[in-house]
Amino acid sequence: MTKRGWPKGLGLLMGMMIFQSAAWADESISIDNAWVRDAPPHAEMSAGYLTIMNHSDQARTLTSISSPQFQKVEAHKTEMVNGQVRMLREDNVTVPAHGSLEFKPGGYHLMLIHPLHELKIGDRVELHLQFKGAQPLTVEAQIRDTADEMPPHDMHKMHDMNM
Amino acid sequence: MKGLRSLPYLKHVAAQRRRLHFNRFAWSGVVVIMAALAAAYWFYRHETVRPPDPPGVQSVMPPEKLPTFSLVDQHGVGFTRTQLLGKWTIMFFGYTHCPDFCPTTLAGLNSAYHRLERQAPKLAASTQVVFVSVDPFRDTPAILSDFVSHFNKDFIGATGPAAQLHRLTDPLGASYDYTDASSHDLFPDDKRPTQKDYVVDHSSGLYILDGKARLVAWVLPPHTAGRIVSVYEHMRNLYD
Repeated sequence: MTKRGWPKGLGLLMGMMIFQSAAWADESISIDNAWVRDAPPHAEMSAGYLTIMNHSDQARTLTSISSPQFQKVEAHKTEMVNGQVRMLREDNVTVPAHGSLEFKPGGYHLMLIHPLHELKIGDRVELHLQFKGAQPLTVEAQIRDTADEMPPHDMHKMHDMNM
Repeated sequence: MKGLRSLPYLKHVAAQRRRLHFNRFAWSGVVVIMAALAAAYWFYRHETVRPPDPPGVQSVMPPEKLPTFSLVDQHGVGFTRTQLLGKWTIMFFGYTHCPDFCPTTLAGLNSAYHRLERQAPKLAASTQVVFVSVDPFRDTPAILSDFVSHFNKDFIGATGPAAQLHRLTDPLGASYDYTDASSHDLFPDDKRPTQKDYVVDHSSGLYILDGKARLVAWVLPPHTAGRIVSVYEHMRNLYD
């Protein structure tokens, strides 16, 4: 690299940072209590849970999720129909204006498909949440031991790693 | 002369016979009435002593005896009706590709089992938990072993071909269907779905079987430890 190339690259980098911070200025969505269930060894599937809070005046829609640690992530919903339990894929999950949506055992959950490496309790799973018309939101979810009762709400695992 | 004297005597004997006859008739009547009263009392006692089922629980009276069936457990060993004899069983149907409901339920069963071990060790010692996979295409014994022992090393995992699974699910009133998670279209009965990542709709209940392989009750979710323990102890108290 020539010395002349420096200011150009720096300018581009600064420009990107400004653009990014502008995108993140939209703080209408926040995520709380993100966690992933400790899955059995060699399990093809695991489940992630979190609470999405929408602070804006408009309903927001979660359109896709991804994670560098899983081949695929989908939003699913567990439903009870005539004593049968079934799972439905939800391609769009809408969080009402000034409302929240809880992903929790027995309801909405993130279906984490095919882990790319073995994960253990305490590990962190990076999740990218894509809301309609917004920059992807990055969240860290910790792998938790399987528990019978609902997990405590004292753990705040929301991190904006891009900031 | 003898005849004249004997006539009243004969009448007396006949009357005595009639009385005796009547008495016999009356006695058998009394026996029948008493038996009916006893039966009525028994039913009355039975109905009033037996407490109502807890919410979300359906007890089965009389307990429904299961037929023979032939599955394979997580060690690759045969799992048949014989394995249900001598111990009470809490049975649950599911599949290992189920990331939400099945792990939540097995975690609940594990906590419940530990509570039983602490609170009622005798009950725990005569209890087994069986997870039956209704997805034999993907759930090999090795996969079942990883899955079940993740929650509790003592839990049993079993599966088998559709015909054998139905010998268990049908009498229990349990069911399962292979479906597409998005469209929710059903795949043809019991055949391996053509789609790779199919899901399985399955009964959500826990099935409580007594030590004679008879269905005693089934329990609807939520399967939290506290609820499982109280319902299970309730059923055991009714029969033990």
